[in-house]
Amino acid sequence: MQKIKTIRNKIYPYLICIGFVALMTLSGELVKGKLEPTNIVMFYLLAVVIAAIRWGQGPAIVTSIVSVFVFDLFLIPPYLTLKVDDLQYIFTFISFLIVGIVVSTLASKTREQVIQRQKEKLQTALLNSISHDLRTPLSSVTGSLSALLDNDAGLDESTRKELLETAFTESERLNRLVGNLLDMTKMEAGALKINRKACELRDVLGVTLEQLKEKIGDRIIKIDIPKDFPEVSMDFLFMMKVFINLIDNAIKYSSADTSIDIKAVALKDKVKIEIKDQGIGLPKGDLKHVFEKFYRVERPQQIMGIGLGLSICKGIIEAHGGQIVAQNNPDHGTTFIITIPLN
Amino acid sequence: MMAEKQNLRILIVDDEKPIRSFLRVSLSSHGYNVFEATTGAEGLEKSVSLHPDAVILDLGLPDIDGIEVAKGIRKRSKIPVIILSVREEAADKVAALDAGADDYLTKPFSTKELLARLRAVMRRLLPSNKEEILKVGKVSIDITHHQVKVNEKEADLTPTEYDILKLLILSAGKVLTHRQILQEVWNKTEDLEGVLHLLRVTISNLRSKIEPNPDRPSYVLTEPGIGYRLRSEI
Repeated sequence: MQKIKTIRNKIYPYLICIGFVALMTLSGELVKGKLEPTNIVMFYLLAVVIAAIRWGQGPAIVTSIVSVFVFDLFLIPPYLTLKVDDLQYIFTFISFLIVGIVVSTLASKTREQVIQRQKEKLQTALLNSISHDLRTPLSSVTGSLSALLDNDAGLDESTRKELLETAFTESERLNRLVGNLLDMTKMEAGALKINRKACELRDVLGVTLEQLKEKIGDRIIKIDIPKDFPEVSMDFLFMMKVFINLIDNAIKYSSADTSIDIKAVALKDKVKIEIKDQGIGLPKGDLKHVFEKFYRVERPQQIMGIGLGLSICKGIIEAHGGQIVAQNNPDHGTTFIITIPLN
Repeated sequence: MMAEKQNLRILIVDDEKPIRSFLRVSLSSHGYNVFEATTGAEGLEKSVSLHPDAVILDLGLPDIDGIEVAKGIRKRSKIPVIILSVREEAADKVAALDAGADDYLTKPFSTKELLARLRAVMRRLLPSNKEEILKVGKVSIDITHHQVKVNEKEADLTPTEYDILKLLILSAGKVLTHRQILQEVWNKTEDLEGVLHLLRVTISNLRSKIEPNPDRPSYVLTEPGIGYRLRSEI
């Protein structure tokens, strides 16, 4: 499926370029006789420049070559043959081709530079965001510990405890951030090794909830997995990461007196797992973007995180051949829906 | 402090000074005698010359890989070895456990967790008090009468469920790999998928009989990709 999509994406620009050439030829037909053919050539040059700016060198060169043929076929007498009465048109063709290639090279270079500049800008933004998000917990750790070291005698027991607890929870957060960054890097380098083995979903969720025990506290987590739910071939540890991220989010973005519902159903050739909270929901425009790297929904300022969690989830689920989507519930809150193929 | 602990000698093999120093502080404060080694070679030598009762071993040592050190120690003695490592993949953990290590902790870890693991692996060093009734939390198992009670009520376990529970309780707190369980319970030496499936089903049934909430197991814990562990301290 993915492959077909990328092939389609590659062929599209060429098809559009050929369509362009056809359009230019039609316009040429309309003004044929009123304009010199050498002027009509300018229409085609326009198509070449647009192709180069929009899609780069390949489609632009194809546009030049196709243009020469079509121009010869329809607009140079004798029509509908590749024969040329007047030898001077040969010069037109050759210069058109050369101009086409040069223009497309220049335009595509400019395009690459623009893309490069955007990339650099994005990278700087990412680095800033990473260093901010790593330094924040680190400063809390350093701050708390140095306060303890400097004023050991002057602090009462409860202050000491508070400082120590801050240092501890913040270092745990730092550890999670580093883990997420490592997973992301592995994913991008294609080094994410998914080791699929038959697993019981109930067991994966059991270990996940055990790990999140402290955060869950008294919150109600309802689990609804039918008795005859099949074993699913998946990577236990990576699927745990997915559920940890999703349940952790659900806890963060919903109030403590609401429940989080996890429901699984087996369909013909896949399983569907839903994680539903009754929280604040996602702004409509964000539903698609939440899985993008470093994307963070603008609201609740006090909730921290680099915004890697959901893109890691997506990467892991896609490596299993599955899909993950976010939906707002009709009443309130968000439901994340995961589907994983059974084979 | 428990009396038997005061004589227990722990050897820490880790090249990172900060790790050694916080381990030394927390272990000594719990009554252990602590010794240190900074390389694999030194660790191997001291594991013989110092007669430690247990070894805490880092995998990423500057000279020899920790797995080789674990194998080297295991060749000569049966002292418990607990691995510390930043490697978190199940395959690495299984490799270390197969090399003879008794348990495995991923860095960063809490000292509370390390002390619990240490107590679990050391339990088998203590003279067995011939107790026939073993207890963990609200579950008790009477070995002579093949009887399991949960909350004082008798639980109806199948022979396989009983065998697994007994095995888990006998090594309470310590991780048991799939391979170890398959060998003890089904007498299989390979991780055959068919038997693994049987193991998963049996564990799931066992949980539904002894766990207060089988969806969130609190006794029989899964160690992803490795095996199972019975929580010893509830």
